[in-house]
Amino acid sequence: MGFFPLIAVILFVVLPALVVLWRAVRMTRTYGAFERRVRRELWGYMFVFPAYLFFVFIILIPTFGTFWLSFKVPLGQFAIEFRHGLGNYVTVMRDPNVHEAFLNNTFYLFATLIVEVLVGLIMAIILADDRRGFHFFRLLFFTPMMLSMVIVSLLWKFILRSEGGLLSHTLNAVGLSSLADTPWMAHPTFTLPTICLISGWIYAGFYLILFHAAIRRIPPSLLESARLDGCNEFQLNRHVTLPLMKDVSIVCVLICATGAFKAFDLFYVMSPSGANHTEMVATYLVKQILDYDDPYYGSTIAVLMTVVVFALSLIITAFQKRTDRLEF
Amino acid sequence: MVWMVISAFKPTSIEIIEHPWALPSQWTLGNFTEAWSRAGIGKTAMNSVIVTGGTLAATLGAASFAAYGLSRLVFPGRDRLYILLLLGLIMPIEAYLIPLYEQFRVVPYLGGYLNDSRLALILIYSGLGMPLAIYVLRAFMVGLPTSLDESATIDGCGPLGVFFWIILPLSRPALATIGIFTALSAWNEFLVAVLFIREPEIQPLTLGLQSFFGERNTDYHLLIAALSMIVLPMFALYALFSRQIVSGLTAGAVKE
Repeated sequence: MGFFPLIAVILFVVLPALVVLWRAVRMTRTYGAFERRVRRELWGYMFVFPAYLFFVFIILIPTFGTFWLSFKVPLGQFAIEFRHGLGNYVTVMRDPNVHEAFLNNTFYLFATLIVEVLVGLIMAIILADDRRGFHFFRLLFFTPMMLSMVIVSLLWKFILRSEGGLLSHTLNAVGLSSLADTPWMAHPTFTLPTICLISGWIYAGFYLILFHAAIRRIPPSLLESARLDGCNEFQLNRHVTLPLMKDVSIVCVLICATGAFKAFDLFYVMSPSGANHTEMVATYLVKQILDYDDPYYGSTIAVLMTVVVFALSLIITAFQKRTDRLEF
Repeated sequence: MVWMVISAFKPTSIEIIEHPWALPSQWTLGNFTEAWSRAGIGKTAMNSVIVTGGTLAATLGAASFAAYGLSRLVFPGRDRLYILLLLGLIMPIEAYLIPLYEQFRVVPYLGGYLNDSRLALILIYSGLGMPLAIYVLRAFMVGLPTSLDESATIDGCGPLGVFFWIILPLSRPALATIGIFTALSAWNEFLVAVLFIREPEIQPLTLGLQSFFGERNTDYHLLIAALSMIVLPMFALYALFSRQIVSGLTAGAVKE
């Protein structure tokens, strides 16, 4: 790392502070006194300052550090850092494991859009009313979000065990014993979809809460007038509720899509060891660091991943600007 | 989950595996006490509480300040700064974990280095939670009517006064929402903790669990008892605040 953090601190903390102060001094000269407006601007910067510090030290500087590391390779057993130029990037582009991981991630992305966002939306519409039991159901569906990934994976391993697991036990009990022997976690074709379903089980409740909050924001007078105009429940949802939730939907898709490329812990704890067919970009990255002792190559993958996530969110936000915002 | 809590009362792990749906043959509390002492849950839970509490305080404090500045005060570069802070929402944590570790490893702290401390976890969790907190709080504060702080300014309040007496009390629902999300993620976090914490004395709960995975066999009955004990406090917290969460996400709840 060397002097890198020092340069970054000067660039992101000292320099902006100097610019702000310089501006304040210049404005004071122009207006003659340390005037109200100057003071107000300085207050603004001061309010944002603590959060900005957290952001710079925890996220921004390490990100640039990763970029820096991605140009190096370890040299021999003493791991002397050596400038390597673009070599790591060439390797990444040719690495079949990376291709596989990106394909898996894309599959996961579309799967989670369906089992998380869509299911969450449908549940939110069904559970929209403020009836007595519904509050309990919303609470229930949110529960998996509260569990740590370690706990989730343990629970599902219990459920999916091939012998004596809860699922095969239950299937045997109801007479579907042919289904009971499905190797949910052991067979390449089943593993990825199974994990996607588990992911849906975890996060659908989260989107349910987001959509529910959006539905609650719709003024009841709109629904009232639509009902008076003779809408049935389906038309009401199709023509009133859904268009009004466009904004939230795009935020949800954004969270889901960027989250899909960040997916790590579920796959890391759930996938059988040595399995390639559930490799995600993030898990491959961490494996490079922990198992193969090559943080530089890992950093290269990280940079690539960041670029993809960034491009994805740019595309989605561009879509948001194009759709005209409905005011209500 | 109910299955998990009930299974926690079963006396042996064999019973859990062979008759998963059956009720316990005898209800026993022994698992809880044994799990408690084995994982040192008293100690690790204390660590988790400290870390979660510290994270909550830092995140809510800094984020509400920033959200107020970004939503109410006018200064050049404000919107660009906001977008910069939001970048944190889409950055994957794995992408900057290594330099982050290096960065914490060189700072001396209490005779050791900063990476092996509860403070490090607090700082990192706060930094990670900050973008979402700012996003939600700002959205909420934008929805609050400006006439309120104008009248307070006329009555002689400075920006600090407006923040503490007007904006902060009104944003209580949003603060509760963010508080819940922050507490949940800090309580359950595993990756950063496993990478940073070496000292057994300061391990949080999620790491303490590892002591149940033996080399040959896992003591499922103890494990499940421990899991139940970890989940229940968060569940209680969420059940208490769940109504607040929805109203906190419903931006601009205060009407003029």
